[in-house]
Amino acid sequence: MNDLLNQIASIEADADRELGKIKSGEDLKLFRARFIGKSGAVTKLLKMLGTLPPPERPAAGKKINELKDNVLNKISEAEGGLMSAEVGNVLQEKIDVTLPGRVSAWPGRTHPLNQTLKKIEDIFTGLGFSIYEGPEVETDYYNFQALNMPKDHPARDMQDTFYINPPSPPFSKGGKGGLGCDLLLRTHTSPVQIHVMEKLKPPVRMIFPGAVYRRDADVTHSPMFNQVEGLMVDKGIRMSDLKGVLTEFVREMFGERLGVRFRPSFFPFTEPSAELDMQCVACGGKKSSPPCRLCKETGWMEILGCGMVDPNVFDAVGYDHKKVSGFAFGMGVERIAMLKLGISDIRMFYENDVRFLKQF
Amino acid sequence: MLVSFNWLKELVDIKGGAEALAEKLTMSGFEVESISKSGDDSILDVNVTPNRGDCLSHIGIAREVAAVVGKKFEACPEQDRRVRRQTNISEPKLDVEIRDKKRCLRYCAMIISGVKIAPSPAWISSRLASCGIQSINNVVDATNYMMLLTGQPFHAFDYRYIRGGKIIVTTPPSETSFTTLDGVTRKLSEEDLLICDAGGPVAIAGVMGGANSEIRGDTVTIVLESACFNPITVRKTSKKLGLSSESSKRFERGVDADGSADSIKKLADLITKIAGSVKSQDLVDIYPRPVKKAKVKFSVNYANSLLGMVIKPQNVKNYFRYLGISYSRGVCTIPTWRQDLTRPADLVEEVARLHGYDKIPLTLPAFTMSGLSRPTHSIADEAARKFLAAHGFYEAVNYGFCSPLELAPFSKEPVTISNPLGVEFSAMKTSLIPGLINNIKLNVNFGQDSFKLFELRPVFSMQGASVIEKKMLGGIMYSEKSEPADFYDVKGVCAALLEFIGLTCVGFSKSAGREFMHPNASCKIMRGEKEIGICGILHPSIGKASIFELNWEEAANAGETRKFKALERFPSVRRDVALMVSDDILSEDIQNVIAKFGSRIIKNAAPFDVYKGKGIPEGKKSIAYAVMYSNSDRTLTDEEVNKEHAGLVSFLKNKLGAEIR
Repeated sequence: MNDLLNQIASIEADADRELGKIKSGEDLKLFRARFIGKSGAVTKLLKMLGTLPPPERPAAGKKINELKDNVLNKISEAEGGLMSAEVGNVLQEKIDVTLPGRVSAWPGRTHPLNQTLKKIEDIFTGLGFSIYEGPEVETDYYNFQALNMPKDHPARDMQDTFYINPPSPPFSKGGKGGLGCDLLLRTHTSPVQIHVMEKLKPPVRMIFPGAVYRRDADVTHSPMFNQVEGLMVDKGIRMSDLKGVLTEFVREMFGERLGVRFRPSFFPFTEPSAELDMQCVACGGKKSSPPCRLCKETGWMEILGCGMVDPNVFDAVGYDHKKVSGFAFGMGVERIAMLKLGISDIRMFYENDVRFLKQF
Repeated sequence: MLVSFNWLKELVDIKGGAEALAEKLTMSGFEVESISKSGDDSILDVNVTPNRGDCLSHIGIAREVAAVVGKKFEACPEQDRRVRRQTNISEPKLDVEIRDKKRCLRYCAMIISGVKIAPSPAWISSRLASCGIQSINNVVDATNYMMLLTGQPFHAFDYRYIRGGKIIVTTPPSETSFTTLDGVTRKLSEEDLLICDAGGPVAIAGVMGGANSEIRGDTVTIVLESACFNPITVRKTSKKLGLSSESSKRFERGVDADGSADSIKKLADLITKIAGSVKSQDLVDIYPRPVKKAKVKFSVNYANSLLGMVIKPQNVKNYFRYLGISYSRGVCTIPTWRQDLTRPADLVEEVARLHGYDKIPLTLPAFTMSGLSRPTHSIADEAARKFLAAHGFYEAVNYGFCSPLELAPFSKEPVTISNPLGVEFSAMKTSLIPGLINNIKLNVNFGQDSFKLFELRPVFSMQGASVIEKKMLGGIMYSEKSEPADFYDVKGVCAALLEFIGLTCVGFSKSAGREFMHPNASCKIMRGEKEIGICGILHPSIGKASIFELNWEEAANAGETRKFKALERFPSVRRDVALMVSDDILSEDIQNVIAKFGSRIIKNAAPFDVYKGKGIPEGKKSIAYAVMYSNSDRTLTDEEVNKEHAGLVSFLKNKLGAEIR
């Protein structure tokens, strides 16, 4: 037993001496191995415990464990010392924080039109509308006839149309008015209304985003642009609901500050029809001082067309217009984006100049 | 339509100025796009919607103004409906015959003799000028003036050139050539309605008169025409000939047949007044089947329930009265000039319009909830957009069409447009790459030297006899320095993007096998046996860039559902091996050999360095692999790993003829 106590004392003294020499993590590792590693001095003592006569073992064990705790304390003490030395060193470092940062790739952007579209979609999905897409190449039936625009209807002048060259043998595209009929690039997203209503029974609450085409090109017209069409059909849908839902949309899109008005208009596929105007984003509806060029001094800007679904459209898709009613609306994504972002030339959207895209 | 404010004031009592009137018209469905000054007059540019042909006239607009301010329109009593059915006049002789009664509803004619052709008085020519019509002479100006007033188009012929004193409204038996007033010779067919005399055509009905019978300086006797033609016939002919006139515009939108006789009398009076001392003859009027006034059922309750508000029945009655609609016992009798009112919903709009859309309350609909649905690819769309933007790509939006020349390397037979805005916009894209190449050109011109773009939209192709639309995700990486946009960058982007949207098991085959791609630096991207896209370097004859194009409908919908796999609990050990092999040996070959070695404790082996040059003989390369060893049950010992690794190395030496560096 005395022998053991001597050994403990000598190990402890040894440890104290070695402790002072620890200058690095590597030294500490060696220290740990020397005393409490697999074949360290303390470990050896513990292994030896079994060779003592049983009555001595509890007292001896206690002593050795005390030694072990001491050594462990010393180790953590040394760790603490090393750490604060290291922290001190790190804190001495000086760098130029005004130099640019480093990242694997500086982010690009999604297109401002798609950012705008995403926002429109988010507002309407928040109001309980689903999203559905239709084809860009359409038949005359879906683009016009089913939407109450028979052949030779003057309303077709409102939408100058691109037609697809027929191949030989002629087209066969399924659906109504299919075989041999004129294929065209849709002039609006309204034909998706027809596809959806042919497929689903009411109630329907959906928006239809997508590209549309018209034979038109200048500062505010592009031969291709993007629209979002919306449709809500159910029992007892009223024009006041149309006003409520679309006013809510404009508020979420542009904020509460600008007034909204609905005025009568004409679309073959809605009756009554309306145009939604919002107070001018540039002059706030004040018209002048200096004369506002954006709203041409009217104080108002057209945002979208809308109306109650025309009974002829319901007839075309087999809905009973005596039982259900609904509203539809359509807006140009470019128009909304131009107003929101302050862009005056629509062509900028399709040039894809990185200096432009970078801004949004 | 250009509307004179002063003229309106002659027709209806207007309080306030042009601005105030414009506001009222705009809010009742006649948007005033601008107001301009013309002398002491204000000219309103009114956007008349295609359903309101009746308002392509000052009387029509005045009637609206009266309705909007709440009074019945009195300036012009209801037209004279008496039908004469007189088909000829004896001296000078005029016979009128309608052969095509479907296309011509009514034909009124009058002969006026002793006319003196001269310039118009200033009050007529200036009013015409304000309304955008050029002054020609007193007779022609009178017809235009009365058209602007009443909405009825007229035509005046020189009686000398009406052969046989006979007017026949008919279609030609076969293709006929005819020279119109504008001096253009046009081809007409059995589809077109013509005004003929005993010798042949003298006018295209409702579109334009002929050069052969026009009013000249020495014209003394004239024939006036006031007719009503079928709108569809006029529109078809006008469209076919590419000839739109003030007359055709009005006929297309529907002219009131009941008004023809009354307006021709007004016109005759005006000509008598301004074209010298004249003798006006009797009216020839053929009106085979007078139009009937439409009757439309209407209930105030229906209107209120569709609008979501309460309008009092008395108000509704008043609105109808202002519009000339008589309403009793649930039925509206519609005046003949309002051909757009045929259904209850049309009448609801009239009521709402005059009551004011602003009085309709704002409500939110109560509805039964249902699950939201979105296109299946929309989640992947969103993820791809975010991923690519985060990796430095800008999103492009290009037109769906382009020049067939730009498309030629990508497709020989695109879908084409029959009436494009120009040949450069005539072919529907079969690939997004040509658009992105154009975007590169523009950006390089503006001094960008390194950038990445992507686009997500459908492309078009003919399959059999139908047009197929497929959504594609295209990308392009450009750099003037060759380094940051090589093959491996674009392959890396594709692999990482597909992983990000949930496709883990994607393969890259050797060569995309496309003419527009570099044959040795491109890949097909495969999912199992299915090609889901291509990536690599463009063929140098087309451009200098790396591109990818994914068949997005395939890729976006192929994402796997992710399931938890137990984590490795024991550490893995890395051993590197650098093999010197023949240049022909591909990384894939080495991977295959490692797989063949069949070790149970190799978890992964990946190349981390490829080196050619100093110290490596010609025709060889050094390729270094990091091999990860682990065992899921316990920690591997050094000895175990060393033994397995040595086995692998000698296997590789053996199978690949490799030397170890």
